[in-house]
Amino acid sequence: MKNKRIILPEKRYEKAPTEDMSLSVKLQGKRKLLTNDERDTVLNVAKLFDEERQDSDIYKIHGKIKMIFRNMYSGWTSYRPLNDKLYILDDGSSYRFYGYMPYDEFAFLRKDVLREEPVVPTLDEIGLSTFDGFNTTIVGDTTHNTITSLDSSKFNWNLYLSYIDSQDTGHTMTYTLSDETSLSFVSEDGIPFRVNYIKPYYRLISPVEHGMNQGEYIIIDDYPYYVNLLGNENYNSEKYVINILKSQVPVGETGLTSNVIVTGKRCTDKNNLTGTTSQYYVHKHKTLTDVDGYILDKAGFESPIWEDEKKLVFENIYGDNNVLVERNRMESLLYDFKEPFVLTGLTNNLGYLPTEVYVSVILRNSNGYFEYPPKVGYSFNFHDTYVDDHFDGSNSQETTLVGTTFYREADGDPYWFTSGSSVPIGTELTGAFIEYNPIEMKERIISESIYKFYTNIDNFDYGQTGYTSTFTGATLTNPFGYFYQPHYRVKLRELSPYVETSDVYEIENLPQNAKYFGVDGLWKWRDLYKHGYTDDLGNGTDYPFINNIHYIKNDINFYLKNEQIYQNKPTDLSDFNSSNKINC
Amino acid sequence: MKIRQLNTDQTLNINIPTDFKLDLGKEESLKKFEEETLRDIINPIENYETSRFMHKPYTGYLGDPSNLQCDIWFQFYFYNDSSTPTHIGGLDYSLVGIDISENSKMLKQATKSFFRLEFYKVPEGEKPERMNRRLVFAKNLSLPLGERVFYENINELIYVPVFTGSNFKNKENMYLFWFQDDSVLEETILIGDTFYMTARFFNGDDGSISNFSNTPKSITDNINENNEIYYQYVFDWTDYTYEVFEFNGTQGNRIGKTDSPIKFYEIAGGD
Repeated sequence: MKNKRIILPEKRYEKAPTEDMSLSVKLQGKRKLLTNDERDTVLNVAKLFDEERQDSDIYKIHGKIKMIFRNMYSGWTSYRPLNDKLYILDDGSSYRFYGYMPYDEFAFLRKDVLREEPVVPTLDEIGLSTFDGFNTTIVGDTTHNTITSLDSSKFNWNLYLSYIDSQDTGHTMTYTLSDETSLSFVSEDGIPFRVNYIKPYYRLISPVEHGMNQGEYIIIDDYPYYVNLLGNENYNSEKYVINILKSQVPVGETGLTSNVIVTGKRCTDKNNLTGTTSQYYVHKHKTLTDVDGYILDKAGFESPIWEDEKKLVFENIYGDNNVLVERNRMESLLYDFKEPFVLTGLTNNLGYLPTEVYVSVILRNSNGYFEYPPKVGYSFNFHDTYVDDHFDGSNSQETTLVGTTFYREADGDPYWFTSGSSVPIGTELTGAFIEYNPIEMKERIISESIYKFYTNIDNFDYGQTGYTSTFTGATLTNPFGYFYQPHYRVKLRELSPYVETSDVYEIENLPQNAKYFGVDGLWKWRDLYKHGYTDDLGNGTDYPFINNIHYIKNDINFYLKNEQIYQNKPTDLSDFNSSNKINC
Repeated sequence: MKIRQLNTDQTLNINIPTDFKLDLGKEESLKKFEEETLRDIINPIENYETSRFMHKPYTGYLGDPSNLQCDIWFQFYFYNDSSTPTHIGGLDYSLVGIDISENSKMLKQATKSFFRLEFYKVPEGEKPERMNRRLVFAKNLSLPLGERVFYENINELIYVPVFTGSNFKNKENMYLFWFQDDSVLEETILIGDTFYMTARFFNGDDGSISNFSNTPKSITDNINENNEIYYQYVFDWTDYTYEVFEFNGTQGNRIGKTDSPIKFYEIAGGD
């Protein structure tokens, strides 16, 4: 029943005359007798199917995962178990044998496992007439670690389901410019901007999409500046460049300084700073499955389009002949979470039932060749020509991932390694950097989180701690390495792109994301689309539904990139005239 | 809602519906009953999702408990061609007409021949036999999936009726698929974790079919179907694995491992 307000006639406008009004309330009776004759029901299977589909909160998540990676760092090691397997590049005349790390150290599915192989016997007629089965031999290397065929899919990487449980407004970040100017800030401070003064504007350039529009405000040092113009002469620059008139600087203030970094927050109404200023934070994921929760297996005979790189080494450094070494193997695998995921009893960071979960790919590093735990950064922490200060030291480490240090001896020398452990259910992981605007009731992803890792220089040295002709800033405490995106979004339900409003106070069946805005006297929410509904913009979900389960196929292209060599890192302004080769 | 000004008196009727429930609520009960019945008879929600079951890992090859493997081994023995046939030297396809040359050259009669592993369910507490068993699924092991030996008379590799399944090699005979939640099979003989497996050989050379027993029998022996045809598979839903056991009317030792292959022996007669 609609909530209606009746206004007295004299309240309609000034000096309005009074009028008699009456309100009569009638009692209406309803008498319905029991149906005594036959009952007919039209069976509507489609309707029943739809009801069951909407009622089901069970999801089966599976898909393909493809490794997209080129092993590009050549280096050397004195640790024999690794040296034995290097994809050697030279003949050792430089005293050291340089080569690429074997691909098995990056593989989702390792091949170098300890296993039994049947020994092929040589038989003649008599031998065949008495043949009674095979003897077996053991193959596989155990000099560094024993890896059985059962371990092969979980030794380097682990897959978990996770959801966004909370948010962190105090996540520490650093943004560094090529001239080593840097700024440390926390996530709630907003987006970093480089400041230039181009008369009469301050030009603010962000390394990520700023998400602001002309006519809105940018809050810098708690003061709202009107956004006068967006963009500069570059294509697509309106997403990254903001121009504000210098004359806006309040009297008595010195204004902004050129070539420094400031942080800015989006605001849509300077008269309602609290209510319309965006909030900035990073997602905190919580894992929903453990290391035994998934299967990873070969996808039949499928392989990606890029070629494998392997060769037979005539003789390696230790004099072994005909050693097969592998630099790259193009893996295309199937993953499948064994148990269907039941979407119930969870609350996300915004206080309602999550509409998405994530497949989290976590470096396990059981062999310990890489430093552990990995470090966490964002897209603005990766540059084409230098290492960002963000990764210096241990402040950016993903501390919820626990490493175990172990020791091996080779040729009389000690070597130390740190391997990762499996992640228990409920472990918190760092997710994307987010802008949330309370008026729009929508999160915007500023940058996905990115994990970075590198090898210990004592175990494999590819120059990660020093300068190269094209890449600077690396130090012993801040080496360059590899990076990848750990969390991949799986959409379970879809919220409408528009915001619904109502001024009626009590409404039934509001979605969980509804909020009451006292200033406007309005309820606002985003509609939760039904399963099977897709709007004209393509928003919605339409997953196969059978066995009371929604089957979500979510393919992942897993990009593992070389920090020093990959030349297309920044998502901001690109110089399209550059002849830089794009390497991955 | 606003009421605009008029020069006449205005009246607003607000109707308050009442339902005296003269049918004492029976109509609502019937309606609910109708809905519940429809739910039961039209497209009831049943979970027919299947899961992959792997051979339960066991310690083996290094004698180190921390090293596990899940390889599974099968050996199929044919009768030899002695005057009183036995199964000695029976791991040889030439005994069933696929000669060494056809075998090594992978001619049609070789590639089209296969073993068929048939999995049956029987009512709980009963031993399997033709009268009470029900075929639930089967897996084929074609000849080229088997292992090879080097036959020096022709200096070539030939296939022998020995098969191994391994998660490393991703071979077909490693994994079995069955219901993740077998409650949909309640009140049928299909429910439960125990399966019985037997084997047959379909000969692509002459079209014959051979049956097998779980113990070597002479060509004149009678076969006790309850005890001598099947091996027992037991599925474990906690880790989605299965184990294979000897079966002679009761469950025996676990087999299928490297040192204890699942052995099938040809018996006389086929169908």
